[in-house]
Amino acid sequence: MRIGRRRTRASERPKRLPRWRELDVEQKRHYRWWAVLFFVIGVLATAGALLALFSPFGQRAEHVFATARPPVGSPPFLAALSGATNAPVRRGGTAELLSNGDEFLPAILRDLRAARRSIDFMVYIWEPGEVSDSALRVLTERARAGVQVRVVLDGVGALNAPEEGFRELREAGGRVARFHPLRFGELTRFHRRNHRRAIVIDGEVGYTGGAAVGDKWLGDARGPDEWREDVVRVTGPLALSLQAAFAQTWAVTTGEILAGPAFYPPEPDPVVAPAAASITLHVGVTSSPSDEQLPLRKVFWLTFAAARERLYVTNAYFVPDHALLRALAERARAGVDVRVLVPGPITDARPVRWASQAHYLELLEAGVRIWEYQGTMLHTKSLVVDGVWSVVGSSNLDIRSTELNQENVLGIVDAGFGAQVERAFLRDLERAEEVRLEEWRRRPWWKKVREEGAELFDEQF
Amino acid sequence: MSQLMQHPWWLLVLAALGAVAVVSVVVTLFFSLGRRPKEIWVNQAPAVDSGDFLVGISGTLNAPLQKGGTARLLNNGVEIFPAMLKAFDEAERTINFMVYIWEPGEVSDRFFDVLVRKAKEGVEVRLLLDGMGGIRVPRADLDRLKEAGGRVAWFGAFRLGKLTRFYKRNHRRAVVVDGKVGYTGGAAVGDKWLGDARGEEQWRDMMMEVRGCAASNLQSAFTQLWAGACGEILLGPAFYPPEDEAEPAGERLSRHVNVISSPSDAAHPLRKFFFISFRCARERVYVTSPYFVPDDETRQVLADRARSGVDVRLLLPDDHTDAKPIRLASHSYYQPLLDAGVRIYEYQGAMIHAKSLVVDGKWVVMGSANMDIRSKELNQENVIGILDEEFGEQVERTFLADLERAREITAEEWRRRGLGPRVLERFCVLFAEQY
Repeated sequence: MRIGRRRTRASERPKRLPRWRELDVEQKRHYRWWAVLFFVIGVLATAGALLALFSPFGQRAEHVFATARPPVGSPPFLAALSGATNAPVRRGGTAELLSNGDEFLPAILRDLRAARRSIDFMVYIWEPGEVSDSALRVLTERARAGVQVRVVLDGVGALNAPEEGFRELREAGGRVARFHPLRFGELTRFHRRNHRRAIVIDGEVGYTGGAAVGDKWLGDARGPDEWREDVVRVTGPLALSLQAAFAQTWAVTTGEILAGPAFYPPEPDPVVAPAAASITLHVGVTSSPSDEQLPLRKVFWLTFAAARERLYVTNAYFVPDHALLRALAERARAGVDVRVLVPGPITDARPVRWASQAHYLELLEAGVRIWEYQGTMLHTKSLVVDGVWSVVGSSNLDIRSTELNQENVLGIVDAGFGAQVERAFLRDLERAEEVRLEEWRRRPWWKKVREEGAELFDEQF
Repeated sequence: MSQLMQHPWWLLVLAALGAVAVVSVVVTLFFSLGRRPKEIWVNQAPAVDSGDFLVGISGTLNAPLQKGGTARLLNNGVEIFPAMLKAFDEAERTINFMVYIWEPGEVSDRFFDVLVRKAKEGVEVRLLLDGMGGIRVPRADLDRLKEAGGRVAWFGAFRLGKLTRFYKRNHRRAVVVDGKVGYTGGAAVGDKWLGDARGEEQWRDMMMEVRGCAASNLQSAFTQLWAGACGEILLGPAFYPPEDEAEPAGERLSRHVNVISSPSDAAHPLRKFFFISFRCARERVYVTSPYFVPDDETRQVLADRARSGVDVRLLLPDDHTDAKPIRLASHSYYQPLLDAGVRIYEYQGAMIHAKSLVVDGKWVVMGSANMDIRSKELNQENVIGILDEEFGEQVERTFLADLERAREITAEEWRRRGLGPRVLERFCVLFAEQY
């Protein structure tokens, strides 16, 4: 093939440019060398992008296994979890589960109003409406009163955040930062979002869970416009763990590192070692996944693998990777009562629901029991194992949460708190429909096709 | 243009994509567009021995803050290797071995001999090699180790499908025996680490031997990547011994923070860690680093501390360096630092590969990380920050002893250097994002 500059004198040029198909074979060989070079690079780049988006090529270790399976909450379990994630084990503090907006919104606003030194507020979604208005009102008021107010918004989750309200907050002395704003130069990172939830007041009281700022979190899950949601209110060292989740994202977004007693109260001494669990112990895991490090995947896997009796999982977006699915199925086969509660027909993300359904059969056949919540969107993200080990926080059970987004969860060892989570789970089952193996096998073929189609994108959900 | 339109549309579309791809590759390699905040600061700077400093650092990094354990400094091959070999010899249950470089030679042979022997005796031996740093590992010895029951895993081995990550290496150092004794620092496996820094062929390097809960901290630097490389999560007392059993008698460290870095776009723990450590200095900052190409903010905080009267000293390699372009890139940073009052020394007589930092004689940071962007933003690294007066004093004494073999660079002399070096420096610093 001859690649070179085609020389034509002006007089030889045709009046109308010939179409490509009108050229003869000889003419078609006269490609510009640089066009050909870029063409080859373009083909490689496109193939590379497709592979990176849709294939899990070497992204994670295919199998996950462990040298031992200590029961959840035992010192070796905590030592391994803390070792595998380098997350601190802390002792003390309180945790309380709050169900639906009617319970958690008044509590959050009350605590914000009582702030004396600092308010750190970080959620993924921020939509205009009643919740946004009352949150901004109290934040602005506290900023005027001299409290240090910091808000982290996500560049995508808070696209609709009310500019006006935030301008007022800034004028009052509050500080607002955006994580990965949609800007040129940030585009290669636009799919990596800050999904963390941490609201911390004076470094002493904190909130985490599925909720964010939007009117769908109002009410009591009475209908499709009122989402079913759980939020955890924590105090003491548990709040310190949420403070860490906030401080990391704040530092990387703005450059400011937070230190001092307004954020980390000196008492009680957070220096603890994993030892006898007479009072609440917890591990605060913050996840900022890199190719080499997927902390939440290890947290979930260890949690599933350690179950002895009961494993109750509630999640709004349930598309776990194969290793996690296998761990659930394996526990069910070993006789553990494994139950999974996911959204039913009312969901804000249908393709995600189809992708979860693609794995139902495998789970049902292993003996996992699956329920679909009815009446409204279920947005809760929680799980409880053997009634003593609960994991709550921002993370969904999907590949996006374990491998792309910034997330934070609290793993709590406490029978009292575990009982709260179990009660809420069993209450939710009353509003849910169980998916039965026989019926599931008989579902129409087009649903199966739809599930397979949705599952192709599971790397991105 | 008209001739361009004679190409088929699909060729043009893909060619345009190709052009975009080339531009993006250049941009990501050489520019730091939006990769890190433009400025970095702390809302207050508590002294390194205050509770606020430790709690703040542990909070910012979500890294465990612990009490107890012991640390001992090992200088050069003559001290490092005998100590490690002895610990392997005494291993009862597990040996976890992770370093970046593994080259054939005497050191490699001696390590393989003892690892194979211990594996045959029933000790669980796990070896994690880096796909690039360990590319020259003697394969026959690896097979010997596997046959004896040892297990070997690779981090980021060269394979199709892994190529987009090939520049991200595992630079961590964590060698842990029974979860009770651990080693970290600058050394790895290669014959240049033999000897006592007496000449060209013998590198000056330091390792730290830690025991007790400091060792089980080091263990997590290993277990994280082991789980990532082969999927096996390590649990149980053979890796994390219960506390009383692990705690040796003798003097205990007052406090330490274990920092493990696996940087993503949105988290650069080491950058924050070093920044806070420098910013909170009151009297002295002594830094030893073989590859000194820090980002703007880190350089500024060092200069700023020197201007506020803190005694800031840097000990860097001289012409013995194994990476001349990196040394040239550091040279381009000397002038502003010298002008601010930072004192810069170049080690004579051998390549200095030690990585250490001591602030106010009490806060010591040692581990695998270099003072460059690669360590903070690309590689897997691990360091331990130790607050302990005695250990701090030991590290300071070593630093001052090293200065006796080093030449100080003065601002005056530096200003007079020729045009040639200046041009070369300018060129070499273009690649600062990748060193």
